[in-house]
Amino acid sequence: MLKHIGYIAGVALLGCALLTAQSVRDVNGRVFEVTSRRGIENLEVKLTPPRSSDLAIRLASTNQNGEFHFTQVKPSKYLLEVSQGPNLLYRNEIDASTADSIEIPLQKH
Amino acid sequence: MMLLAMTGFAGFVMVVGGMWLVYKQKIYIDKEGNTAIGVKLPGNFSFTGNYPALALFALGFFPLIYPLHEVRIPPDYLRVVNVKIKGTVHSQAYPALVYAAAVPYPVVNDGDGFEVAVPIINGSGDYKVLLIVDGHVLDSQSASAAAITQGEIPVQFKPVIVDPPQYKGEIKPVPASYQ
Repeated sequence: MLKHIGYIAGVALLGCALLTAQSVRDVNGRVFEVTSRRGIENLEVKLTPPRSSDLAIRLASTNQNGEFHFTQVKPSKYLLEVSQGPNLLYRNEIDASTADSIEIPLQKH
Repeated sequence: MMLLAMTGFAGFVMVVGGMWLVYKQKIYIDKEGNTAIGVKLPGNFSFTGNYPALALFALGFFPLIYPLHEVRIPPDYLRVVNVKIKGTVHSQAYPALVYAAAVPYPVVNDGDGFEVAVPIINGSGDYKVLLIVDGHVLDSQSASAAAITQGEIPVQFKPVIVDPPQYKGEIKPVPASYQ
């Protein structure tokens, strides 16, 4: 009897651990110029959850390689926006539960 | 305002007092007879001493209603009720400022004017007027309530010159679930 209880508790703990591990994930991406494929730095990247959600708004900037990183993002759909100062350059909806690396090509004016 | 309030109060006293006097039949002019005095007018009209009470009651309506008529809310005046918009901010970036505007005024062309209706604030406080483009506060001006002339406060923003974006990408419309 005690053996069964221990087995059930172990399975439950493992399930909880797996659920916790899946509850957040990192979302990475890169913003680059489409022709040269060079990364564009100092852009503002914003992740906005749906209005009905209580998830946090996330902000990040691109590094010198055009890369941005959001750590521990809860799985959901987000509105991803890339801006340069007051100029909006890119907007699209992403699914953070499936998006591993987001490629954002921009054209030079 | 105080005069209107006093007038209204006097009208109220006249109306209520007139009703009370009529009810109690308390107006007696002939003290010796202790009866209401009678007055006969040409044309077979007659009045008893109770009629002054009725006249008091009727005449009281004018000072009662006149202040209400004078202080009625004009159609272009919104009654200001003290309402607080409350909430909590969770942010790793501080200091943060929270602003609320009932109806922001969209400006879409260079040189367009703007008019933002605001509630009247007591005393000589200032309104904070922000020029926001795509979530970025480009300019902030103060509009003093003491500078109201003909229901308007002039505000002049600094000219804003924004370098055109160096890059362009795909900009999809905002889905309804984010609006």
